[in-house]
Amino acid sequence: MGRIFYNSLRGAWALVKKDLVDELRTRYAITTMGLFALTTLVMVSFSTGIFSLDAGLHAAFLWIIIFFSAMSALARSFIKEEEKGTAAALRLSAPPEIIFTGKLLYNVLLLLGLVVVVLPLYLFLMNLPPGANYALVILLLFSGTACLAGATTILAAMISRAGAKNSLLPVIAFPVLLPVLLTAIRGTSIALAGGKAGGVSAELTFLLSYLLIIVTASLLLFPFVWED
Amino acid sequence: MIAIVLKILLAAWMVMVTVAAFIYAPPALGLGDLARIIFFHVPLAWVSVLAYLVSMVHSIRYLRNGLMIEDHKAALNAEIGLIFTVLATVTGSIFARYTWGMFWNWDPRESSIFILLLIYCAYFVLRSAVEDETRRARMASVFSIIAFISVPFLVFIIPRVYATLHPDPIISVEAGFQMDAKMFRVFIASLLGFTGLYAWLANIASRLSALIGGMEGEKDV
Amino acid sequence: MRIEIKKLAKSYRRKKVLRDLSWQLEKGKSYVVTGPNGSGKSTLLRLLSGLEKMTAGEIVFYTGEMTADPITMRGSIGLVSPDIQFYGQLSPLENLTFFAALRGLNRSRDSLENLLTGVQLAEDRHRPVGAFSSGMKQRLRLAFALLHEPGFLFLDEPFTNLDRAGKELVNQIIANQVSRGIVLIATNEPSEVERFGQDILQLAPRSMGPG
Repeated sequence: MGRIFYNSLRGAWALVKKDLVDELRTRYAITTMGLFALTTLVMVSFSTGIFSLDAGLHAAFLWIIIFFSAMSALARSFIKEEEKGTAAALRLSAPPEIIFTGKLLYNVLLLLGLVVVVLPLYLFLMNLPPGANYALVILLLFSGTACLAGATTILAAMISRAGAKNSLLPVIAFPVLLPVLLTAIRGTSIALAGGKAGGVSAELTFLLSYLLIIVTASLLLFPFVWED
Repeated sequence: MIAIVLKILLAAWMVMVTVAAFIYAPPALGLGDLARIIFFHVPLAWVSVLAYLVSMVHSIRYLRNGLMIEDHKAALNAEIGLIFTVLATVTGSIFARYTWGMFWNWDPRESSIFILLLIYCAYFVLRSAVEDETRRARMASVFSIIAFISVPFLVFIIPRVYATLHPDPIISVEAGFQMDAKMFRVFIASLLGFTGLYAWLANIASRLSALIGGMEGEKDV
Repeated sequence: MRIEIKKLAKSYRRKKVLRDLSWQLEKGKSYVVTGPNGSGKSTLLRLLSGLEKMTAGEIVFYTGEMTADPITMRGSIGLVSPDIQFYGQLSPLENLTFFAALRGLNRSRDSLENLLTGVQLAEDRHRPVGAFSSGMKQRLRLAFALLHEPGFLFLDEPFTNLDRAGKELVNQIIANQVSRGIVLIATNEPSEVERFGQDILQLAPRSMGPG
């Protein structure tokens, strides 16, 4: 039993590595998300950077930037598999659960990378109030983006099987992700205002439960999407 | 024969409810005549949710048995639900405008109905993006379930995030029966009436699905 | 070791591609399915590999240890099909390494290089597959299908795009497979049907198989 689990993880991890290598060579997600993030950030900074905004507004801006940058590129990994015809080889080689886990982990990593780029840039370009609890901010950003990845992985697979474009993702993902966005924004805003861990425990618990439930549901439903 | 009788009964019921809403029921404390909209707004919202649940049940059944007719039913019930959701949103918005001065406020109830509207729209956008019939049915069914899962989370957090402007204490059924007895009667009658209306529409949808299936030469494989 | 196909049917929307097809395949014989374009040969192979789900009927694989459907037998099934594409950005060695890991296999780099040598791709094992000719891609498909040493091998028009050496390679592979497992070839070429068809299934458009 343990052996099967280990092999499954190895399989999922192989998929993650393959996607990472592919991404490094084509730099699709990096450029798309990066440019999107930069453009929105510049717009926000240029128009409001000199003002002292309250924490809630900063939180909202941050998450708008992250959400839309994520949406610009997340469906790509599945869409490319279908377009290039490599999905067949994947189906023959591994059960759907492994494929899903691999793609999920890859999406999580991509979004982690996005946060690592966006947060420092945001700090640099914007005039953040002092006393923000950055450890908590980072924790909330990571939790929120994990949830984004959790929900969008199966949605991206659906879009790829539908033969639709990446641009469909934000449309169908938004209603599903709204609870995450609202909670993450609220939590981030508390953290930016200098809140302590206790103050955002509800938000963090919420995000964690969402992540667990949505990933479980996606795992159960993924075979319907992936197989014919 | 029974069907015709039921339909006439339903029509008569709805007429009675509508009249009662304006004449029989007294104006509410504090809100006055404006409160009358709840005889329409709340049942509409209730049916929107009901339609979604029915649609999702058909989606689940489709995934389990692969019969296209279940997908037709899911889609048609969703259409019904969409119409009711639009009506619920509009009536809620009218109420908001005349009570609080703004058409839209993002208070919990408004937000919830708006999310439902978004989910319905996303459902239909997804459907229109897939050409292959079987794929379309499968993707739409899975989306229906995933979207449903996110709703409890939404309902849970929205009240925490925003202070509510919705007049819960006065006329909400969930908050406790603080309605005047006459109002309550009309309210329940309206709820039943709208549910009956939905049942009728759902039945039409069901028969329509069977027809579509028959027309396209589908057999229960 | 055998495969039993019972009353297999597959239809897309209203088009019935396969109807009421029954067949039995056993170890030690080479099987051929033939028929004009559109008669369902590729569909049959895809159903047998678990790439598609059947509309009706049953496909059961029997090996010494287990009885299972195509999807569960994934680890013992190899498919060569023009539908299979590889990652253009990666080399054949990288592709195979990836698929081996995905399958949970423990193949060393050396063994993968040997496999590539076996399909005559040794020289190009580090070049990105995107630059490959169709013949080279076909050889990679052969390597991919044999990666996990499957007991069941399904070949859909395996000789396409191959030169003489390549065709000889396929002959070898088929001969090897017959002795250790089951091999089914889908082809239109009369010479191939003749050569490998110890048991032939003839499909016609909207056909019923030889019950």
